[in-house]
Amino acid sequence: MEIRRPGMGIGALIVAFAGYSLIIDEPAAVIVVIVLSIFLMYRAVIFQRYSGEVAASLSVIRTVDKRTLRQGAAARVLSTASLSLPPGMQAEVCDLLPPVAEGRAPVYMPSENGLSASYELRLMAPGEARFAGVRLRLSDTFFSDTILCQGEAFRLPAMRAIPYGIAQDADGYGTYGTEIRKRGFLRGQETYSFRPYRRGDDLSMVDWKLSAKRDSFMVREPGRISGGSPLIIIDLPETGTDENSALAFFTLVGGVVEGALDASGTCRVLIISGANLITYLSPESGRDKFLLEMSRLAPVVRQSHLFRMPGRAVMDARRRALKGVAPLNRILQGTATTAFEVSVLDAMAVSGTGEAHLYSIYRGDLSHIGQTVLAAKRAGMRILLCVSRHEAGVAEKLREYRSDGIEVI
Amino acid sequence: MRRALLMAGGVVALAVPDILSLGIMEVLLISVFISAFFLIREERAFCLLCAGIPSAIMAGPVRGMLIMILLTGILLTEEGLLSERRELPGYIAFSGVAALSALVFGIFRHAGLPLIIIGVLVAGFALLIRVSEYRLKWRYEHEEPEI
Repeated sequence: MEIRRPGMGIGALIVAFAGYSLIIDEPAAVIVVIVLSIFLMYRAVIFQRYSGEVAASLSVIRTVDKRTLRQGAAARVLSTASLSLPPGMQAEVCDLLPPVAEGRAPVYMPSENGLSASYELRLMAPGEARFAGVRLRLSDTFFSDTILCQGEAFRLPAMRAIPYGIAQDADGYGTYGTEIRKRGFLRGQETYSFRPYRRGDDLSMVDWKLSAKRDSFMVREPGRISGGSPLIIIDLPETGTDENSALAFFTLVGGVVEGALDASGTCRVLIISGANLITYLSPESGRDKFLLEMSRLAPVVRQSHLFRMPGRAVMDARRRALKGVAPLNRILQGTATTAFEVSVLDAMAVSGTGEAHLYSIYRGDLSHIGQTVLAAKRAGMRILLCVSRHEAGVAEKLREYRSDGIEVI
Repeated sequence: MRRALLMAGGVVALAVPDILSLGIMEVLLISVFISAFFLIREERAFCLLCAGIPSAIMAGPVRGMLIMILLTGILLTEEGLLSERRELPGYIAFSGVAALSALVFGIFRHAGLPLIIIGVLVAGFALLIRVSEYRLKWRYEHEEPEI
């Protein structure tokens, strides 16, 4: 608790009249000192009590336009807070950014929904990051104080940064699970990661140089065989989609994810909505997390739209080019045209699987479907467009996207 | 404003109980307070407190204590801290404790001992407030909010 200027003024009066009463030995001045001291104590108690009340009434709702984003990419945050203020109290609310984030969180300003702040942040380190909470600065005429609200409710939502630019540079350092994506000259020879040797592993896959360096057997894990279940891409419908279709779609994808979990114990799920990346669930997320996320699926307001898809001839030309040797892919990867395509490419690279299944209700602007198919081709993955049997009519229309197959479920 | 005016009237009435025996010093001090009340706009609450304290000392311990309670009431009213009914019980409790303390400390003939006692009490209270503040902060840094 800090004492503000009027409080300090009263403190100065107390000291001055205490000195005066000591020198003059005036009992009336002692009374002044006593009353002012008790007054300051009374205001301190009131301030403390009100601070607790305001902190208890504080609730924050924070939304980010991208929950999975490329390392260093900007995400837009909109935070809204509501609190009840006793008379004479002022409050300032400010977000505490994730420790790995770069950006500046402004003080919440009054808006029609209470207090709100809108700003951009960038996650500068890969992995999951949460907000550090909310800083609540309270003041009245005499005192001020800062309370850090760091409970779980103030730290949501979690964001995930996909590593960018380390795939080609890593040198096999790290323990099991290090994703390095070492590229070979011929397709199929890429090393996705290294892991410690396990009994029964093929000895030809032992990386002798790295094993000597680490003094323990390390095994190469090729890109083609790493992982198991395909990457499931769920394209959430836009707000306004009729309820029955959305419900049928969520039931379908929920069943698919649950099936994948039952079959192999885990899966990889990338959730998008049009050209917006919502989240990426890695195999380490755990069954409960997958099921929780599936139960939360809902139509979303699409923040950005592509309305832009390469024409059929361009798609064919790019596909033909991509059939060439691996080094050409590497060059083309740098020519990804949209931020969405770059993000999807990164998510695909991290997933480490050789196949992706895209589930969508295929309505409205479908340019992101074309971009996703092209991104899969660039990542060297097979991609299937999965259509619910209720929407089987669109299957024919989807042929122009040149995916590796269309599956009606 | 009406409440502040009433309290200011109370201050003047307590400072000048007998208009016939009014000295030049009392007139000067009370006119400083009245002038401050009607003329000062910036930092008004604190200025009124400062302007009223000499009158409180001049009025002696008992009337001085009452003047001080009224002055703090003016301060709170001017800052909008007595605008709601829920604020009144706190202020009345403060007034009661201040009056009781003033009466208790009134038994001392000299200023030294009461000042030492009030100093110790204030230090103890500051410690208690610190502990309570720490508990409050710890709670919100580690626990979920109550919904």
